[in-house]
Formats: sequence, C-alpha cells, structure tokens
Amino acid sequence: MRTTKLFLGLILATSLVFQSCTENDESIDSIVIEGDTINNNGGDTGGGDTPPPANEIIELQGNITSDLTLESANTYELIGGVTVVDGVTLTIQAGTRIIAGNQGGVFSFLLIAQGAKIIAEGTSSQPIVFTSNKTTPNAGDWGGLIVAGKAPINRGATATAEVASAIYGGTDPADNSGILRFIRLEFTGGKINADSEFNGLSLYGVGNQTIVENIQVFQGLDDGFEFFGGTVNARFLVSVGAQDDSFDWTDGWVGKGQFWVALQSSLEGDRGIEADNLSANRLAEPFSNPLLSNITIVGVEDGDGGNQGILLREGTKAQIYNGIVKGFASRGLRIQNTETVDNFNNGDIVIVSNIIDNVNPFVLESADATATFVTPELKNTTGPITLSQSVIGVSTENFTDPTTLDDWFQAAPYIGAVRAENNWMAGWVRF
Amino acid sequence: MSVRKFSINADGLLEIKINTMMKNTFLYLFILVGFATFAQNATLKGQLTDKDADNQPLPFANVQIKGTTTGTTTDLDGLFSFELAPGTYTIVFSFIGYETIEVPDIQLKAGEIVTINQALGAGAFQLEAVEVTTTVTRESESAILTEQKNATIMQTKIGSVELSRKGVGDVATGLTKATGISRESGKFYIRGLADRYNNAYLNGLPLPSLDPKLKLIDLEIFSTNIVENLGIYKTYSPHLYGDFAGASIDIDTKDNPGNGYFEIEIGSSVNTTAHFNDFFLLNGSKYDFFGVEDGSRRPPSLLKAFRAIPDLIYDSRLVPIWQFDTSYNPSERFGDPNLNVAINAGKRFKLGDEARLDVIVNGDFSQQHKASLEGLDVALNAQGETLQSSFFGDDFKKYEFSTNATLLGSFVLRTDVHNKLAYTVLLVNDTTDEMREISGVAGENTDNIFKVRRGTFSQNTLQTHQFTGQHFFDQRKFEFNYGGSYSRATGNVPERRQLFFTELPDGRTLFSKVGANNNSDNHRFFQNLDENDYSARVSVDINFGKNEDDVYRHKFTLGLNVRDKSRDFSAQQINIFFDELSTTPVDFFNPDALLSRENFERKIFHVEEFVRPTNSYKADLRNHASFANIEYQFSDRLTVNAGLRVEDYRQRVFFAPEGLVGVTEVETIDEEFYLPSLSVKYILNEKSNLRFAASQTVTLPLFTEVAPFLDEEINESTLGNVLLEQSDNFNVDFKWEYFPDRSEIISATAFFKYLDSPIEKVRVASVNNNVSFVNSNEALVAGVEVEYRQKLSKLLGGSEYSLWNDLYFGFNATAMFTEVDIDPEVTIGNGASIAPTNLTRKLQGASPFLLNADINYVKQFGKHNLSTTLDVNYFDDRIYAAGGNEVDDVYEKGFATLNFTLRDEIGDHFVVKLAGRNLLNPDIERYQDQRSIGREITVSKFDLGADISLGIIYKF
Repeated sequence: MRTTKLFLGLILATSLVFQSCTENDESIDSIVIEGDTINNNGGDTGGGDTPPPANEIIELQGNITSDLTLESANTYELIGGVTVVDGVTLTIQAGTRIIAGNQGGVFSFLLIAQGAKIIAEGTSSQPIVFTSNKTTPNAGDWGGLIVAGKAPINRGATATAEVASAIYGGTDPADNSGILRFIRLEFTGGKINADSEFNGLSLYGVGNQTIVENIQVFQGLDDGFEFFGGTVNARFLVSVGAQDDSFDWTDGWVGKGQFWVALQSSLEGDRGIEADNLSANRLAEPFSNPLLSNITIVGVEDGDGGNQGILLREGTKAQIYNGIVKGFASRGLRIQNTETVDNFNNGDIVIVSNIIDNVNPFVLESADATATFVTPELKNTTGPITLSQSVIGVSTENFTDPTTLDDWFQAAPYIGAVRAENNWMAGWVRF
Repeated sequence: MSVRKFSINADGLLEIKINTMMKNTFLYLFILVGFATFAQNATLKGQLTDKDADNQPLPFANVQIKGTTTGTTTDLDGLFSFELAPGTYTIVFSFIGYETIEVPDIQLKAGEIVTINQALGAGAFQLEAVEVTTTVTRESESAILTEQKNATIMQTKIGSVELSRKGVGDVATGLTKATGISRESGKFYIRGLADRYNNAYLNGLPLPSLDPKLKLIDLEIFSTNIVENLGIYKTYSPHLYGDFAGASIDIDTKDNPGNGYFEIEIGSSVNTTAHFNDFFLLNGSKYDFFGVEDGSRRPPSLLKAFRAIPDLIYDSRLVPIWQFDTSYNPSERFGDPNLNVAINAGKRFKLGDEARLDVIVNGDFSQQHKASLEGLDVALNAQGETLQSSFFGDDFKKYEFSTNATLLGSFVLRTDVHNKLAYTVLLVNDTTDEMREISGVAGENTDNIFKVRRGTFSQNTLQTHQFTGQHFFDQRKFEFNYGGSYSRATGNVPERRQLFFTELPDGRTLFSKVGANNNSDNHRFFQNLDENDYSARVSVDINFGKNEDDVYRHKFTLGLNVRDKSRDFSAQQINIFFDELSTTPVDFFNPDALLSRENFERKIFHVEEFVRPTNSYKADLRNHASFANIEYQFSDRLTVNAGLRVEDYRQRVFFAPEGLVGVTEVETIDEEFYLPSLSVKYILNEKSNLRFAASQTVTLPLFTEVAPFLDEEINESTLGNVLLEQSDNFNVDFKWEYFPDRSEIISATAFFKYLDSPIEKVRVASVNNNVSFVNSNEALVAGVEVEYRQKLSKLLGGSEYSLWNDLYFGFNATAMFTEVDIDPEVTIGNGASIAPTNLTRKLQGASPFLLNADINYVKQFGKHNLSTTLDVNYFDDRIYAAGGNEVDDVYEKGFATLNFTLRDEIGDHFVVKLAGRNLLNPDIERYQDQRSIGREITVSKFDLGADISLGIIYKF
C-alpha cells in the first residue's frame, strides 16, 4: 500500500538519512485489532462434536463472524459488546440462559447488526433469559439486546444508534432480522455515556419480516422497548419496572403492535408510552405512525409526580385502539407540541376505544386544539376500570374489533391487553 | 544641540549628556575611553540603538564622518567600527525612517579606541540610499514596516511597541490587531479559517496546544512583555510546517536587552460586570488566588485502589470513606480588583572584546475576572423550539476568574557578530476557574424547570526549553541556523463539579433532571492531558551572486525539520446517586446541606465511578521534513522565491473502542507530502511593491477528531471520526503595497484558496444528536484585504504643524466570499450518515467582513510623552455550527469591540497606563437562522463586561 519514495535525494542528500529511517515500518501501517474471537473454552459452539459440560459458563466476546448456536444446556456470558455481523446468524435454543454484566465499566450487550439474523425461539415454558451476572442483581447491571435493520427511518438515510455505534436504517421495509420469541431481558440499562443508557430491547430500523413476539423487559434502568424507525411489528410485549419509559418510539416507526403491557415500579419511572416523530425536526418524513391495539399501561407513583401514561409529541402520528391507561400521577394521555396537535386535528392521530382511568385523563396542549377525545364516535371513556394483579382485566364495552383494522391483528374483542381467562403472560413473564 | 553636562560615573566612564533641543528629549551618550594602543590610527566604534524599541540594536544604519565620504553601516547587532586618522570629527548617524543625529567634537588620538553608543528615534523622514538585504527583527512600527517593505516574502509583523501602544497585554489580543484576524471564545479565525488551519511557533519552533480540541495554543497565556514581535505568515514558505492554510504565528521572544534595564510594573483592573456585582465560584484550593492548586481538587484515592481489583468499580457504598475537600455550594470569592505584577530585567555582560552574553528575564503575573449575568443558552430543533434533551436556559450566569504566571528567560551568547547561541526557557502556569448557572424550562417536560450549576477549574502549564544557534561563515556567504526544542504541556482539569436540579410545578426543587434520569448529569470530573513535544530545525543559507555594491543577490536555503510529539490523555468521572435524597427537597444555593459528609457516610446517597474505556487515549505524531528554497534576484526590481518541502508524516491515535473489553485500536495517517511554494516580489518604485505567492499545503486532523472518543458538553457531544483524512490546500495571494512615508502603509491583497476535502464539524444522524467531523467535498475562499495607516494630517490636508500631525489613523479590512460543498453521502467512521441541512453554505467561522481600525495620538508635553489609542474591531455574522436534520445553521452574530489606551511616559522612570477594554460591552449572541420558518432565533447570549485598568511602571 505504501510505496517507498526516496526521490528526496534531488533536494537534499542529507535528508535521506531521515527519510530512509522511516520507510521500514509498513507493519504498523494499519493495525486494527478485531475482537472476533469467541472464547468457547475449547469447545466448538458452532455446532461441534463435543458440547462442553453443563453449568460451565461459556464466554462470548467481540464479533461473531460465523453462524453460531447457543445451546440450552449451557450458560453463556456476554463479555463486553458482542456483535453478530452482517451475513451471520445467531441461533439461541429455547431455555438458554445468557448472563451479562460489565467489565471495568464496559457494559455487555448483544447487537444483531444490519444484515445479521437472530433466531431466538423460546417457549412459554422455556423462555430464553438474558439476565445479570450478579448474585444480587439490579437494574442497569448490563446493557441490553439491540437489533439493527435496514428499514426506512427519518433521521437520515442511515444513522448511528445510541450504543455500539451501530448503523441502522435503509430502504428495505421488508428487511428480516430474524425471530425473537419468548425472551425475557432482565436488569438491563447499563450506561453507555452521559446521554445514553441501554434499553431492554432496542429495535433500530428493523424491517417487517422480522418476528417479535412474547418479549419481556424486567427492571430496566432506561426504557423497556424502544423503536427507532423501521417497520417491525410486535405483539405480546411486557415491560415491568422500567425506570424510564416502558415503550418508546421515534425516528419514523410505522409498525403495528398488539397486546402490550406496561407496569411501572415505585422506584422510578417516567412514561408508559413516549412517542416522537423526530425531536430535531418534528416534520421529518416518514412520520412515526404506528397502529396499536389492546394495550394496558399502568403507572405507579415514584415520588416526582411527573409520570404520564401516553405522551404523543414531537410531530408523531399514531392510531391507538382498545387501550387502558391507569394510575399516572401527572397525565393520562397527552398530545404535546403544535405539530402533534395538528396531526390530531387533521385526523392523523386516531384515539379510539380507550379507557383513560387517570387524573388529567386527556390533555391537548395547544390553544388551537379543536378536537375532543370523549365523544360517542371515538368511544373513549375515563373509566374507572378495575384490574387484578395490576394489569389483568379488560372491558368488553366500546371496543373496536382489531381484525377490522388490519389483517395482522389477532381477534381481541375487548379493551385492554390481558384477559383473565386468557393470561398469555403465564409461565414466562416475571413480576 | 549643546552639551549640557559632563560627569564621571562609577565605572570610570565619561558620560556626556546631550540635550537635543530640537526634539526636546534626552539622549544618552556614553563614551568609553579605552587604553591606548600603539597603533598609528584611532579606532572609532560603537553601537546604534533604537530609541523607540527599548534601545535594542539598530542594524544597517549609516554612520558617516561629516564632510567626508568615509562611513560604514552598522551590522545586525547595531555595531560599527572603523579606523580614522587622529583628529576632531563630527559623526552623523542616520537610518531610513529615523532621525539624523550629528555628534560633534569627537576627538580621536593616535592608538585610542573611542566608543560611541547612540540611540536613534523618531525623526523627519529621510530616504537614504540604504540597501537592506536581510530580514531583521525590530520592534518599532516604522522599523517593522521597513522590514515588511524589504522582505522578499509576504509577512506581517506586530512589534512590541504597537502592542504596548494599544495597551495589549497578551499575544492573543495582539493578533486581533492584524489584518484579517478575529477571535472569539478563545478561538482564532484568520481570513475566516478557524483554529484547525492555524499554527503557532515560538522562535521558529512549533508550540503544542494545551487544549486537546484545539490545534493552536491559547495565545492568551503569553504576556506581551516577553514578545519582541509577532510574525504572521499568511502565505506559505517552505521553512514552515506544511500544516498550513490560514496563518502561522511566530512569537519572537525578546533576546536583546540593549543597554540593560530593570523595571517593575504594578497594575490593577476591574471588570464592570464581575466587580460591580457579587462574584461567585465553587470552593477550591487555598492558593487559587495565585493560580496554585494545592491538591484540594483531586479524584479520591479509592478510585485507584478499586482499579486494581478486576471487575470492580468504585462504589462508595462499599467503602463509605469521605475523600473530598471540595463541595457544591457557590460562594463569594475573589471580589477584589485584579492584581497584575511584572518584573522585566535585561543585562548585557561583556565577555572580552567582542563576545557578550545577553540575559533577559521577564516575570509576569496577572489576574482576570469576567462575568455575565444575563445570558441565554439553548439548543433548538427545526421548528425553532427547545430540543427535548435541552432546556431553555434563559437565566444564565457565568463567572470566571483566571490567573496567568509567565516566566521567560533568554540567554544569548554572541561570541562575535558572526556567531550567536541562544537558550530560551519559558514557563507558563495558567488557571481558569469558571462557574456557570443555567436555569430554564425543560425541553422534555415543559412543566419542569431545570437548573444546572457547573464549576470547572482548569490548569494549563507549559515548559519550553529551546536551544538555537546562528553562525555566519565566509563573510556572511554562508549562514547556518539550527535549533532544538523540548516542550512539555499539561492541560488538566483538576476538578469539574456539576449538579442538576429540577424545580417542579408544586414549587419543590429536587436533585437531578426529574424525568430525564441521567446519572452523569451530577458528577465530579477529572482530566489529565500530558504532551511531550520534541522538535529540531537545521538550515543552511548559501548566498551567491554579488552585485557591484558587493551585496549578495541570491540565496539558496536547505533545511531539515523534525517533530516528534506524543500525548497521553485520560479522564475520570464520579457520578452521584441520590438514593434517599432523590425525593428530598433541596435548596439550589445550598446542596451541601444534603450532600454532606454525614449523609455520605450513612449511605443516604452514594457515588460511583463512571468508567468508559474511551475516556483515555494516547496519540503521537512524527514529522520528518526537508526543504529547499531559492531566492533569486532577477533584477533590481524582481526577486523570486521558489521552494519545495517534503514531509514524511505519521500520526497515530491509540484508543479503546466502545463496548469492547481490553482491546486497543490504532488509527494511522501515514503520508508523504510534497509542498511547492512560489513567492515573487516586484519593486514598482522606491515606495511600492507588487507581490505574488502561490503554494500547496495540507491541513491535518487533530488527534481528538480522529479518536472515536465521545466528548460530552452540556448541550452537545462530539465524536471523533476514524475515517478522517487530511485536506489539500491550494493558496494564491496577490498584493500591492505602498509605503508613502515613515510609519505609513497602504496595501491591498487579493487571496484565493481552494481546499480539497476540507475537514468540517457536522451534525451526525445519531440518536444522541452527536456532532462529528467529515471531509467535505471542497471549499472555496476568496477575499480582499486592505490595510491603511497614515497621519491624519495627510488625510485631511492639514499643515505640518497642526494637531492632525500628531494623529495617526489606521485600519485594515477583509471582505471574503466562502463556499463549501458537502457530500450528503459522506459517512463517519461507524457508517452513519450526516443528514446535512444545507449542502452548500459558507465556510464555518468565515465572516464576510472584518474590520480593525484605530486612531493614535502621540505628543510630548514637557516631561510627558503621551500616547493615546482608540481602536475598534468588528466582524460580521459567521457560521458557528452547521445544522443537520433540517435544523438550520447557527450563526455567531457580529459585534464590535472598542478599546481605549492611554500611556504616559513621565520623565525617565515612570510610565502610567490607563486602559479601557471592550467599552461597548456588546452581547455576544448566536442565532439559529431557521429559514424553514423564516426566523432567526437567539440560542446563546452572554457578555464579557468592560475592563478598566490602571498600571504604573517604574524603570530603575
């Protein structure tokens, strides 16, 4: 790459002494030490002959550069940031346990990079569990699970994630990052830098061929679930004890969601749903515009009196059907910023068949607000509604049949996410 | 002219004081009568000095025996010597742009050596047929203009005389008096090219920067007391390092004590905002007043202890031992006026007939207060509203107390006029203690008011040792120059303390940003930057082609430069976790009541180290360069300089990538640069020149711009870009200059620069709204500079004796066009795009218009020698930060700075200085030019206050 140029003799013979001294170091031209080794304690975890004995912890570190299967017989530990790179598939067997922590301040995380796939299919009786490596675990003990895809975003053609400098976004709405099913992510939210912490599950520009179902985030220091643009759909999501927002979207997310549950903790928490188009430019396109049905968002007072149920702001659009919001000290459902209120007035924000059982149930933040929420057509009410075990319970009045909204939705003729007679959280969700 | 007084002084020397009635000033004439020799003839020798420049030697002046053709010119050190037959003579001293002095009745006896030391000063202009062929270094403005006129390359210099006349106390302020230079918030813009394009040298050897984010050292730390002159190279010549585009600044330190001096200066100043209001800072060390940090600000030693244990991070709950001597309450400190003290001494030691040792020592200590009480600080989105992560800080207070201590020692040994060896040592200690309080409605939750108090104590030190030599051989046919330098610079933040508060709608104030949940908001931060910089230069000048007057017409120069620099950077941070205090109401002005030692020991709250591997990095650069230049005088009018510099450059940054454990990566730029330059001077007539210069140079990225290290400020985080490369610069200058009279100049310059892949700071499309650096496509800079300095009498056509004759008027102005093309596809090292709002815009930092103007009144009244200057600097609006994601560019609003200086030299011993700086005290504002909504919205505002200072110098 580097050619030796000694024509300096023309200029000055003495300078040759200098120049030639410096021509022998081609070896240090570009040293890039890649952490692409997988320390598997001698075994071949890529589907090899002799699986290592059970109960032994297998360390994963650096980049995963060839297909790999994590087996349920083992416990795996993430050491620092572990990235599945473009073209590689990571398969995780049902019941596999993966622990993580931090190493001298480097919080471990698992990143499924653009072009990579994760096939992680647990079952309700054998969920895949990502948890803290500490004996007395706490929120923020490790990072979280991050999936980056190539579906459109509104922050730029592509953008960088909060973590791991991961690239996300693109032009393929049907991008496929794999399958996430029956997974529990515990004690996530380690610090990235002064501005950022890891979310439990971060979906960056993930495409709609990716399957995201039955995922719980338990005791995360930051948000539970966050969607950064993309087209991915997600159902059966549970966020328990998220210390920031339980669900969060921004950057132009246009997917669908059904059967979402959020339960805050008294320790700390912020919003049930915090929804942005783009903070830097509220009119950025494509607009965030998800379609949600059957959600139950329950707040718990944490001392600051500021928690809100659903906050739609920064120009987002949204269609929210059959939702329950309850127990937020500040507000139930709030639409903030002129551009967002305009969306509501123009019918780009649709709030139908919801029960907001809360102080300050509906707040429109603009003098121009012309619409109201509680009308016979919109079928919204202010409750009250009684829930067992904080989140279980539905109302069969005033609902909108979700199957009429989109083919993707499953039949659920009620308001709320979890019916007592069909508790889909049983077996794999932790409270 | 008449002889007033004869006396024999303590050294047995005959001292004659002459009163030159014509000028009404005292001239000193020392006559040293040597021992008789047995020679037939007498020898007359001596030294001419410059009265306007602390009596430094005056080279190339004429010494003539009146009524004869016998004469000579003084050498570089102002020395002259010739043999005469015994007799009585009148000696005439003259120099271009200086008075002519006749010294009558010099009696020479056979075998005697008579020494006459004469000072020349301002006088009626007389153009003499003096052929000045060498660049010489002088302090006075007229001498500098003469030098500028005669130099074969384009250069601008500001001498110490001009600096002191304008009341300039530091080099940074001094530079803003030069054409095309402006400065804001500690950063220089030269012809619109910001910090990255400029470099600093000390006596021709490069100086490291103390701020990792800047290439140019903060020139404010250099007191003008150490400066002989400031050289500004706005065109490239091959002896300069190739990292060049705006200008290279060379600080030439004093090295010639003339006839020796010793003076003490004591002064004091006040800042209208800081001193006329209560002044607050966080607490600190006992000796902060002197700029000495006694160790009160420090990371707890437990941090280190915990480091030794694998996988364990310092957490005070494990070891609740209180290790802090500082706290978080604001306190009233340093309310007294600023103190400034300086001692300047110089002495010449004769070591035999010709050899001498010149010693100069300058010690300087100064303080400065600044305050701004009605500021604003916010980050806005494309709709012109507060960004979620920001808050509308319309209650903004800033307090700053800084000290500077500088010690310069210069030891110059001249064995004879042909050989000079110099050792220069410079020690600088510079501290700044700043406290900011910002309050305003939160962007995230408009029901809440966020408040932050951030106190930063930073300490920069520099120690530089230089050894230089200059030798002439073969009757000045060969000149051999060399120098070596070692600099050690530290840029430390012994402690930064920051606390956020939230005022809730119910009136309670709680710790931290409620609802924003960010532990790093509340911290103690410690930073160490350690830089070692070795450099050396060697060059040989070969003069050839003598003309009929025995003066060399051509010169060939060969040289080598080596630079080897390394940096070690590390930062540590402790975050506060409020635990039980998180819902306890707190007094914004008394957080210590809760963050007490007792509560800490009882684990009511705790602290943890916040470790980031990217908080530390090492970097080095190595540059081996050789250059050749030929200066060829084609005719009496036309001189051409042509040169080539070749640099073998390597820069490496070693860093720990984010998210990986125990891994170090290195990013390397390893290039060879071939940098040609051409400079042409054409003498139109005795008073005017035409000049042309063209060159190719490079601009290299800073270490921090390459390292993927996230640098976090209150409202902005900056991430390095590993893909960053150097830009190639093509520079062309064309200049006409006219020197109508002594101290007068009129000049015009057209300049043009093409920057291929210039490095620019841009907003990255990232979740955190980070900014980073990319290579843009290209940039074009074209502009015109004019400089004008004349007596007002000329301008107004007044008579020779009018008041206007004592008034000088000068201005320089720069008008510029700049344009940058940005490639929207460009990505930074991690692949993220940049989502630029504007694909074509002005170059960052480039003002379309810059103006410096001054009026100077110089008059003698009896024993008073009065000099008064009123000067103003103005710059037009310029881009401060380029926007992204439809957020438009942020501009710095142009403003004018008005300064007043009065300097009265009373008799021989006293000088009184009175100065007012920044008298208009304008608001320094930035605005977002949000064209999508047709509004310019202020995003930042503060003021600096006006400074009034009074100082007295006593000369022994």
